[in-house]
Amino acid sequence: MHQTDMLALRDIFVRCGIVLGFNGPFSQSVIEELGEAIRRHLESREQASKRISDVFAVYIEMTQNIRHYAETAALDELEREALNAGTVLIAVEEDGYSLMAGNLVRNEHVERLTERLERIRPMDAEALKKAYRDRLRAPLEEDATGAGLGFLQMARKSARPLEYSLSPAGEAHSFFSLSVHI
Amino acid sequence: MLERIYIEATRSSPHVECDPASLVLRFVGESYPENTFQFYRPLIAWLDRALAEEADQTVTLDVALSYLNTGSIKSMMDMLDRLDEAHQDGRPVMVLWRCDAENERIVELAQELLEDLSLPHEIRTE
Repeated sequence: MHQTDMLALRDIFVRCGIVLGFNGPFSQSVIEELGEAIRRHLESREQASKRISDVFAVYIEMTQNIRHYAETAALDELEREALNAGTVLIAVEEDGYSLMAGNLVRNEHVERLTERLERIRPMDAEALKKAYRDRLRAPLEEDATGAGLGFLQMARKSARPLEYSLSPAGEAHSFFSLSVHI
Repeated sequence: MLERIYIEATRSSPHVECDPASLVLRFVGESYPENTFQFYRPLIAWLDRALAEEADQTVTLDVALSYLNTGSIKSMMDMLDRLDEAHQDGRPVMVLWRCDAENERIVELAQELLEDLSLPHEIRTE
């Protein structure tokens, strides 16, 4: 890495208002440490307890999603490492915080992922609440690692519809990124 | 024979006590453990056994959790549904959710989870 790389990166951080950025493997321990850092940072600048709670909640759901996905979707240890290496960014914007998380997904999972998000995106608060409650009461699948509630919860806490993007990343994978504004 | 469960809190998982004498399940702290369903499975099993035994003694769920990931919310809903079903079958149960008055989200969560249930419950802000 060169000084010029760092300066370029810093320019992006400053321009986007990024206050926390992490790129690397998400162990439970890393998730906890970063989570604490986020909470402490927010507590020092933010009065609204709801907003602090929501940013933390969305951050946990995003990072644990990446971890669960890596554990269940990878076909071998090497792939598991690749899938578990995510990027998380938190930026301060005029009217709140922007959380973005990105990770690699296997191409065969792209369609289902897109379907789920496209179903959620147009829902209003009423519809989201109903979908969330229906999901909450639904029986779990055999080997579920998650409750399927993460995206719905994020959408409920988000001031805007969830934004996401998918771009090719190698032969069998795409890079998925999700953005939530709180 | 119901055994006693005692789990110490970690940064991401709650302190848990399941007492076979008082039939109280108590949770304190935060809940976002790595394998959330794995964490809650034995506790839900304990609840099932407690509800099946000692039909006259109240089974109490005492929750003082300030944050739950969605897996924990689902697990908690699962326990509440079982308690509610037992209540509707005439079995004495009680749910107490202790909230920090400053933590608006946890008060809302407790209200949402308990909303459609008929069992005796109290959301206590402290």
